[in-house]
Amino acid sequence: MAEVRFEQVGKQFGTQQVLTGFDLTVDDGEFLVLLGPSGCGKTTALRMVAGLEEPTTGSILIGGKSVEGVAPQHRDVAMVFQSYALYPHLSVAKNIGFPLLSQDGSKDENQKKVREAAELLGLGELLSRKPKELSGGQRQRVALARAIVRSPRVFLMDEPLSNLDATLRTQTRGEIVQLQQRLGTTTIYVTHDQVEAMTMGDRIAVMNNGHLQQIGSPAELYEDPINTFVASFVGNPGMNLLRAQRRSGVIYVGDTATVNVLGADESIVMGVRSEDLQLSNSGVPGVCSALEVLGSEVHVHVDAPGGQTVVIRQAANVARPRLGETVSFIVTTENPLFFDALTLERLRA
Amino acid sequence: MTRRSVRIRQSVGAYALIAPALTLISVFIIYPFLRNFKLALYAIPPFPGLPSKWLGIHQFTTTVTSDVFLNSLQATLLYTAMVVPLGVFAGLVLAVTAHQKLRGMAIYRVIFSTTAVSSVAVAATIFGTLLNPVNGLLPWFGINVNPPFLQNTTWALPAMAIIGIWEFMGLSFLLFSAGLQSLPEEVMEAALVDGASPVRRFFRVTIPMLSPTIFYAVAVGTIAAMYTFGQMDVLIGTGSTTYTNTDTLAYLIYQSVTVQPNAGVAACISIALFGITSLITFLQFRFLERRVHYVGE
Ligand SMILES: Nc1ncnc2c1ncn2[C@@H]1O[C@H](COP(=O)(O)OP(=O)(O)OP(=O)(O)O)[C@@H](O)[C@H]1O
Ligand SMILES: [Mg+2]
Repeated sequence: MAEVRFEQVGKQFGTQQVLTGFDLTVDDGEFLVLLGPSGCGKTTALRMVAGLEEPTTGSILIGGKSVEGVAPQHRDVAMVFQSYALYPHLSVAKNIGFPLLSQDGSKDENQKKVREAAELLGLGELLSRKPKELSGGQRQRVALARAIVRSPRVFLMDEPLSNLDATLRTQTRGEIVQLQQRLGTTTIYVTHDQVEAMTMGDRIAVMNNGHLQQIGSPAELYEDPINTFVASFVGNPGMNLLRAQRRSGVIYVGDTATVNVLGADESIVMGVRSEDLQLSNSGVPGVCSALEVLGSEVHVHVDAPGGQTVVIRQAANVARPRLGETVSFIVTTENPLFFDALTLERLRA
Repeated sequence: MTRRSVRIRQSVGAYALIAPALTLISVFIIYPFLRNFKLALYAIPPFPGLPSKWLGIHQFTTTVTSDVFLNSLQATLLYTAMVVPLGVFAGLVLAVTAHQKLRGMAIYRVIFSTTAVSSVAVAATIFGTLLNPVNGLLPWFGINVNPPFLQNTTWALPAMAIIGIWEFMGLSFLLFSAGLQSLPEEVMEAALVDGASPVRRFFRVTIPMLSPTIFYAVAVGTIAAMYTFGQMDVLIGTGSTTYTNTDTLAYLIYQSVTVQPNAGVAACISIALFGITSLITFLQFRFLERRVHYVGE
C-alpha cells in the first residue's frame, strides 16, 4: 500500500495538451474519486500511474518514489479497465490467477488466493467459465477479482461500472466501497458520473479540460464549490447559475430584486441550489420549459430572463405549472453563493 | 401476386446475377476438374491425334504405389514440414517486431511484406545467385558444402525450403500483422499491468489470442507448400542429379507431361495430390482447430 502523488504533471499527445499542471496527492489507503466530464483526461491520468503512458512534464510518485521509467509490470499496481480487458482465452480462474504467475507463490497458494478472491466477489460457481459466457456484471467482478488477488500497492479503476444497468450499478458501487475498506488499498476511481462520485469517495478530485478544479469531500464540493464549473457539475441537478447585478446591496436578476447581500455594485453570477428556489406569485419571471417527474420530486425547468435556464426542485404533491406557462420564482436562501462574472471563480465575503 | 410467384421471380433474378461467375467457374474450374478424372483412366499419347488407351483404375493404383510417386510424396511432405512451421514462426516474429511503436516501422512493414508479392521466379533467381558456389554470397562468407547446395542430395531440398519459407514469410507476416492490429489493446495492456514479462505475454496472451490467425496461416501455408513447383523448376530442373530429392508432387506432374509424356499419369498424380492435401486440411480442422480460441463474443 502506498501514497500516490502527481507533481505538476503535464501530458501532451502531439500538439494536444491533455493534462496541465496536475497536482494531486492520494493518501495511503484512501479511496479517491477522479470526477470529470468525458474527455477531460481522467483515463490518461490513470494510465500514467499504471505506466501505460509517461508524463510529458512533471513526475508521479508511488510510495514516495518517482516511477519515471519504471515499466508497468514493475509498478505493482492493479488496474480495472473501462472495457474489463479480460483474457478471452482463459477461464475465470485463470484470469483471476494471471497476475499471480509473475509472483513467487506456489501453485497451491495461488489456487487458494484465486478461490478467496472469487468467493469475495461471489464468483465461486463460475471459475471454469470463459469470459464470453459471463454477463457484464460478472465480467466486471472478474476484473475486480483479478485486481485484488495479488494485494497490489494501488488500485486503479477506470469507470468500471459504466456498462452495468442501474440496479447492478448501485449494488456493485456498495460492494466496491466495502471491499476497499476491508483491504485498505489506496484506490483511484475514475468516473464521469457525479452520483457515483458522491456516494463512493472519501474525497473527490474534480477535473475539467485537463485541469484539476477542486479536491474535497462530497459535502465540501456540494456546499462550497470554488468555481462555477464545480458548482454546476456536482449535484443532481447542478447548481443554478444566474447572471445578476448588485445595486446598493440588493441582488437583481433582470429587473427583479432577490436577496440582500452587501458589497460593491457589480455584475456577478449568483449560484443557487434547486432546493433553494421556489415558484411563487411574484419574483423573477420565466416560462416553464420542461418538467421532469421523478416520483417523489419534480424538477421544473424555467427559462429565466437573458436566456438562462434554472431548475427548481419541488415535492411531487405541490401543484406544478403546465409546459409553456408563465411563472415566477423566488430565492428562498439568504446565503446564495457568488462568483466573479468574468473569471467565474468563487467570491467570498 | 402470390407468394410463390414472388419467390420464383426472386430466384430467377438471383440466378441471372450469379450466371457470369458460374459460367467462368464451370469452364475453368469445374469442367477441368471433372475432365481430369476421365484423363486418369487413359494412357494419353504425347502427340494429339493418336488414340488414347483405356487403362481404367489400374493406371491410378500403379501410379500411386510406384517408387517415383512415393519418393515424390516424401519430398513434398518433408518440404511442407520445413516450410510451414518455419514460415509461420518467421512471419510471427517479424509481425511482433514490426508491431512495436517505433519510428520508421512503416518501412520495415513494407520490406517484410514484399516477399509475399514477389514472384517465385525472382526469388529463385536471387537465391540461386546467393548460393552460387563461384560468386555466391554464402560461399563468399565461407558457408559452403560439397557438392554445392543445389547439386547436393542432402541440401537441395532444404535450399528449396528456404526459398519457400522466404516466400511464405511475407504472407504470414501480413496475416499476423493484421491479427495483431485486431487484438484488443486493453487486454495486452492488462497483461502488462498484471506484471507479466515479455516472454509470458508472448506465450500466454499473444499466441493464444492469435491462434485463429495461426491456424489460418498453417492451413493456407500447407496447401501452398503441397503444390510447390516454381523454385524446383528454376533452380534444379528435371535433368539434375538432385532431381529425385526435390521432385515435389507438383513438379512430378509437370515432369509426367513433359519428360515422359503421359497426361494420364499426370492426372493420376494430381488427383492424389488433391486427395492428400484435402485429407491434411481436414485433419488440421479436426485436430488443430479445436485448440483455437476465437476472441470475439
Ligand atoms: N493516445 C492518444 N492520442 C491522442 N490523443 C489522446 C490519446 N488518448 C487520449 N487522447 C485525448 O486526450 C483527451 C483525454 O482523454 P481521456 O481518455 O483521458 O479522457 P477521459 O477523461 O478518460 O474521458 P472518458 O470519460 O470519455 O473516458 C481526449 O481529448 C482524447 O481525445
Ligand atoms: Mg476514460
